[in-house]
Amino acid sequence: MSERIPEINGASIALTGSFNPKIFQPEWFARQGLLPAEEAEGAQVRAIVPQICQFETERFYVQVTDQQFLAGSKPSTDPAPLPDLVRGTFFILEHTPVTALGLNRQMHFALGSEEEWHRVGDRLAPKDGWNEILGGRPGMLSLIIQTVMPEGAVFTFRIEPSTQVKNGIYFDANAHFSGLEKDSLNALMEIAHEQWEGTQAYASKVANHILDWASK
Amino acid sequence: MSRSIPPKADELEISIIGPGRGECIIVHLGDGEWCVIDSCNARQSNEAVAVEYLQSFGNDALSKVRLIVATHWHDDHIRGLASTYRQAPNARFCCSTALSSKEFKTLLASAGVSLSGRSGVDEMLEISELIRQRRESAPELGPLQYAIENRALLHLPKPGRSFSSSVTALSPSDETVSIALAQVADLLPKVGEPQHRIVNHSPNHASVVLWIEAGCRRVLLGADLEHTNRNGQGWKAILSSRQDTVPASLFKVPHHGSENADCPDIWTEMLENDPVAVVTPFTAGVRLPKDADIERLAARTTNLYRTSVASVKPPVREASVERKMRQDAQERRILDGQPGHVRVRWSVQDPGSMPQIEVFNGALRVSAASALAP
Amino acid sequence: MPPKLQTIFSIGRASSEWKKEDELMYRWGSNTDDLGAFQGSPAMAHEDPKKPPLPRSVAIKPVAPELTAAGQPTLRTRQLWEGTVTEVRDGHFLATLNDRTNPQNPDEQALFDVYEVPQDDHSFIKVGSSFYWTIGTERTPAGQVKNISAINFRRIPAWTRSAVTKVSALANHLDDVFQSAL
Repeated sequence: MSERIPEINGASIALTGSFNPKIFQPEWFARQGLLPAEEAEGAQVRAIVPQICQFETERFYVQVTDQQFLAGSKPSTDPAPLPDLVRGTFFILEHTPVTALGLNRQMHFALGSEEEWHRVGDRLAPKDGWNEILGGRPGMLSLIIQTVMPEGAVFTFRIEPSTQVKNGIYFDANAHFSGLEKDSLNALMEIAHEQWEGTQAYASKVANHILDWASK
Repeated sequence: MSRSIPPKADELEISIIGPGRGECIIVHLGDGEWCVIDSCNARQSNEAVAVEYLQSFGNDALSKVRLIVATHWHDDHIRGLASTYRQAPNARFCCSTALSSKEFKTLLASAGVSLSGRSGVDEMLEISELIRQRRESAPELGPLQYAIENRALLHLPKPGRSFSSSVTALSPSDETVSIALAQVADLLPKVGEPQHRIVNHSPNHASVVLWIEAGCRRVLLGADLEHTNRNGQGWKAILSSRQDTVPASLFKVPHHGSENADCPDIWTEMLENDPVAVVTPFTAGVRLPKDADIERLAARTTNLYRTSVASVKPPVREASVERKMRQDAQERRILDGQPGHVRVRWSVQDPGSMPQIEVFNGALRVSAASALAP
Repeated sequence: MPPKLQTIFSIGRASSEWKKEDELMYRWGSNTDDLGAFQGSPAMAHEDPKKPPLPRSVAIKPVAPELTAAGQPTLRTRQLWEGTVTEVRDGHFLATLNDRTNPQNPDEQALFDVYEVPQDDHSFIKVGSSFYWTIGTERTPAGQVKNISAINFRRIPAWTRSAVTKVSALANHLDDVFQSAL
């Protein structure tokens, strides 16, 4: 079967560690050459307070608390430049203590029909036992599957009905990498560089496989 | 003959492979022992052409590679060389002495730190790590070897062998090393300046020209060395300092047949009459060889070969994608074609024997008539 | 006990009920430590004073804005190239293109007019600079579909003093490797 392409596609990179949210303002990114000036000027700022900084631009969103850094690409853009934004940020902020990295992809897929949508749901979460005991019409709201890869990365997949696409399924794929005791930031940025395309492609491959399997 | 049949023990083989960007020369030095010079990848795979070719024999040829030479450091000329080196556990690595300089080491280091990725020295950086590992695991192989004018890189004497053979560097000269280092200095990182990818520029003054002696046979591999017509530089330096006066029967034409690598005196002083000459095309930037280059070369030898015609069909893409690409991009061309292969095998025992020349994967012989055809 | 959710999404119910997503209440965080596992949840409601507060025992994680197409165009990438400028000519630049959609395809070379590049990016048109060339289908909020082609140069920070120092240190380390006894 030919590869299913998501109707809506997004990606994000998250780090845990110790951050100063106030730094991560749109103007800072523009000043460092990480965002075009025009894009930074047009940013929609949701919050800039000591505890959290959150803004969106035409292509990205950024959210930083004292313990988490998150940057993501919006559905209107290809995620390819996202690793540059994150790696560039921490090329400059090279002393940031970081403990873990998440490479994430979010996808909304459209299925061919409502019938296929039901079939997928029933295959992912069979209702037989639930129907015997529950009233109403039980349905799956969310399914999480996790696996540990031989290299040590932890992959977590969450599947839900899509709120954005009719007869759609939402996939959220997360690849988690823990930092080393020493020089975590450099090591994790290297992983972000080397594993970005692979984890994005793997997320799509898993989603495709599961949808193909579940819709039979 | 099938491409996968290995040479006989007493045969010299020179295989020249060129897909349109980069080239690889694989030399059989007798008795199953090999030397690999430069590298490129096969189009449909990510493996180095030398690895694919030597593995095709099925006789563990990679373990008998004695020497691997990087004639210069540009990525597109040595792509896959790290993989070849990794899979040839008994090979010593050799590169231009220009790479021993602090400037070049800084250039390599900058590729390891830069965020710009896929730099023109990435392959060398990977090789440097492999050299470090191999120095620890196989110290008997000897350290990294630098090539400089008239340095013997490998000598396999006759006793116990089908024939004696040797590989000698004819360049770079001291003066061209200085020129090469000045070029490298321009590429080094400076505070406040943008991080850029290192884009390979010709000429490469530090290029390593190799002279191969195999019994009675001689081969001249011209790498990318250009002709500046200045004393102490390029081909002029080689002509004035060469030690072996026996002419070569095979010539790997330097720098893709370009006019600025053409030194007429090579043909009269270093080559036999009507030698086998092989040119590897270059498809990026200015396409080489130009028609005029082919005409010039075809006038000098009737045994001119080129590894590919460098005109390749693009992959099929969606019609809407192709339409958009045609609108926004002009002069599109594929850079890596089929890895065309010219293979020359000679018996070394019989000085009068004619070479057996085969072409594979789109390589072809250029006749004078076709060179002049419109 | 987590707050009672109205069961809105149930794979197996009629499609007419699909539109009631705005009635969803909070979704609680995961018990796992996986980063980003609940980012972009399509069902995460924004804070609403009318809705009952979450119990303190429920773990809350910072979440990204939901991956929603509401009010913005969506892009379906059909071809992505990564390009490197190899030559700058008058009003044009030559670039080597690496196919990121199908990496097994050979590299290509093409000539571009500088007017294909957004004005903000013109200062990046230099030998060695790299860019993304995205070709795809964009669907606007109004439902219109159009083919797009966009060139955007990669934003990479300049060399810092610290990075140049790292380069020197690494070069010194390479001294160990690039020694010769012959």
